[in-house]
Amino acid sequence: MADLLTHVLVAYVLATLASIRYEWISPAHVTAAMAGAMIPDLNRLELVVPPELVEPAVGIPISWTAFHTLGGSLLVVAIGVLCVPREYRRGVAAMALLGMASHHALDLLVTNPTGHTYPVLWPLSAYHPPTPGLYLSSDRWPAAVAGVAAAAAWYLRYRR
Amino acid sequence: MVDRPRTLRFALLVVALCALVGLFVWFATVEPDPERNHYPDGDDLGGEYDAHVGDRVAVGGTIVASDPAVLEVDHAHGTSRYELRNPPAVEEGQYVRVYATARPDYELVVDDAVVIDGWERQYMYGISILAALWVAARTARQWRFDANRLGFVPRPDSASSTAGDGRSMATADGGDRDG
Repeated sequence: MADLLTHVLVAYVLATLASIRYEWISPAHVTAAMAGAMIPDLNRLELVVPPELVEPAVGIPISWTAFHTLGGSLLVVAIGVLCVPREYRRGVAAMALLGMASHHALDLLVTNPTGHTYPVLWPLSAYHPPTPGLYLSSDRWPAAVAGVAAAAAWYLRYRR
Repeated sequence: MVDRPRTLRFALLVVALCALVGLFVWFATVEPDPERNHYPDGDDLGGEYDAHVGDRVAVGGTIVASDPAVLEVDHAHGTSRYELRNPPAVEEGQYVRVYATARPDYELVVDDAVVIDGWERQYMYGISILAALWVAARTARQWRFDANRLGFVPRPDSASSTAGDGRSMATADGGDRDG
């Protein structure tokens, strides 16, 4: 629920910094982490394919919001991992999980008037944990901070 | 001849896809539960408002009048308008999310609210689309579909982080940042 650019930049930072320590992390792996950071926001499919349009077609209500929970996000990671050959699976899984987890970690801090956030652990739990309310998805500064951090990480990894 | 690993892989893929579809269906059945800090939303109110009178609700929509403040909410059943009592300072066109108590006659008594300007929402969507395009471009440049292996594999210069050639890595990744 932070903007997607912030999520993608944070995943870039984490994966790039990790690649300083772990040499197997290639630019392609960094991209896997960035793609992983996009997974929870697949719930935005609702803007393209509204669930109320799907319901008459399949006969039962559906909700894309399941993407924005641990259960839905993990299944997408699993599907992604199964789409690469065996020798790449561990690396892609680690990176996609890193990006996906960082997305949820950031979204748990987003301001909500109820003071609580979303059921991140669903379907394990439907509890909406409290949020410290650090920022809104429409704030500009998170992407600016993440952008500076990304430039710093890039410099440390490739130029220093 | 049966290719065992490949068969297993496709079986797992089908299982994961079915499980995901199952979650879409399951999530749609989750009811609001204030005990878990899950309050009725715009879809719930739009479905049967009177059933939620007296409830704490969490609703987002667009301000269409400011005196008195009227919130227009698009939801699964259409569009509803709610008059806000105790509203924050709002102008027409702003996007507002409220935590409120539902009163009879489509009145929401606001406890807390978040107000976002229209351009801020457009910024959010615009920047998010750019981010998606950036990742798509990186993916297309660094990964390719290998028809023999029925999977995505890294392109050679994107996979060689162990080559030890810092310069070539810098070029490979530095080029991405312009794209």
